Amino acid sequence: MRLRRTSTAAAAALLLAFLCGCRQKMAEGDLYDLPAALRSGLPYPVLQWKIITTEVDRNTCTMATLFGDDAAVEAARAGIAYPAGAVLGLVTWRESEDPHWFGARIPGRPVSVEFVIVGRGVDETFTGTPWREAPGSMAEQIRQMRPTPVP
Amino acid sequence: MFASVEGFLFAHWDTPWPDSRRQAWRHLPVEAAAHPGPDTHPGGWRGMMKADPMVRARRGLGALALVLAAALALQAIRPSLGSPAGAQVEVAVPPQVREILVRRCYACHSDQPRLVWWDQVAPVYWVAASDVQRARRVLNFSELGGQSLARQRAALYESVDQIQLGAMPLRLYLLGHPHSGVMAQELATLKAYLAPFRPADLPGDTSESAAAGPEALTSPPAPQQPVGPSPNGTPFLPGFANWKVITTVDRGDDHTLRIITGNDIAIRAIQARQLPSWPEGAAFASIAWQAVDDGHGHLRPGKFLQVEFMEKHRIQFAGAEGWGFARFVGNRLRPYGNGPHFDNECLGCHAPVKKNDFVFSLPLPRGPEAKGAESKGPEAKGPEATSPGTGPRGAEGAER
Repeated sequence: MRLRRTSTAAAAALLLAFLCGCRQKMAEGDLYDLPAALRSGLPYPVLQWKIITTEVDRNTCTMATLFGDDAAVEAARAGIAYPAGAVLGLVTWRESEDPHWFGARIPGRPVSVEFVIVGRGVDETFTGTPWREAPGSMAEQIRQMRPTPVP
Repeated sequence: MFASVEGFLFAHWDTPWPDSRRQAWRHLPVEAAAHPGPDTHPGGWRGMMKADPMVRARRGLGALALVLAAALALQAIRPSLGSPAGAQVEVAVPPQVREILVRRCYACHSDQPRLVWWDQVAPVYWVAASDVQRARRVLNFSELGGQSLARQRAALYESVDQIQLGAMPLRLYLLGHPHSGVMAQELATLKAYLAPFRPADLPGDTSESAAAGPEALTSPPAPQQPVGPSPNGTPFLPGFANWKVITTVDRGDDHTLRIITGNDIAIRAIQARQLPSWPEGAAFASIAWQAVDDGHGHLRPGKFLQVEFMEKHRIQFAGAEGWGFARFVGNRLRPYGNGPHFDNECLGCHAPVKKNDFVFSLPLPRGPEAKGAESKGPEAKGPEATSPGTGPRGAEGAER
């Protein structure tokens, strides 16, 4: 009787351990690209915008993605000049190896975010942790970036 | 009358205690137990034979012999693992790479299966044979050489992926074949051979452009709606280019640049930190362009190659872990795949990331704190903002 009770308890414990194992919470780092998170303090919600294009620089091992507000994206896709007031945001990340795909690189640590406000004549760039603001230096290159061909 | 049960049972016995107790345990009346026989035995012949150890032993042996005979007969049922009909063109790799593949993969993924003695015994043999046949269908190194170099490389890349994510060799195989796993040094050799970001490779032959067919290699695209849905019923999802970004990918293995976007349901799930379980209706688009190098190491998206979708519908796509997979290739957005079960190929590739709900992409984090923080605030400009660690994500800035 005692043996039966012991074995029942052992079986229950095993089952419980198995169920707990199945429901083990995954680490956040296995679910999200945490290092690439954009810290607080940017003047525009750049990740809420649509993508215009993305580029890679093998020399600096960086990946830069150009976002734009609705006015900017519309103009970029239509192939016309950006209207005054349109805002472009170029986010540059250091590349990091994709843990899920050998041969792929994904955004790692953010390097800078540069905003161009068309028609204002000045643009601003944010770098460092936390963001430090400085005059932008790539306004012209950012304006020249062509949108990716999408359906 | 009797003080105890034992008192009742053994009151008239003169046989030694242990034997009589054993008999009593069998619930035989005292008289019958003392002089067992077919006539006196209350159960007749049957009862007596039950009790006779010799009879029981003989019966046990008979049963064992039957089982052995059946097991021997089962050995005759042997699915053949002879060479399949495919042309024997081995994968084209240097000797040191081939050696690793032979040692670690050929046991199943080749036309020369290697089975140890316990694999040869049915029913284990049936499992082994079925595994080998399945393995060959997915990847057969003895015949892979007949395909384009790009496809051969793509197969090797996928192999490395499966190994490093722990999907290969199969766990069951490792249980039966200890020390068969790929060693770290061997994996490093495979990776060094593939060298995805080797500069000389850019721009190169890409598996994606090869898979895309000639139409993808024509002038810049203006893709329209495809002719129809994916063969498994997954629809083309227009507007994917307007979805928000999940991540971007620089693929050195096939020289593509990719943008992964997600619909509102997917984005909300990221914001709510709901992963790994993606909600019903969540959808992603992986948009791929050929990477074009300007000669100075700057890569830009070139030709549009394809867009792939994953859309979560647990019931409609119950056979594919709840995901509708689709790929629309080239400027004409040709639906990829033959037959409704083409997505077995997708699932096979995505299986190693099962714990991530079969999604490879690690989304850029979004959250309530990030949303609030993205509005312009005085703390971004004030001198106090230079102190380290401000912002809820400051601690997450370290390189992985």
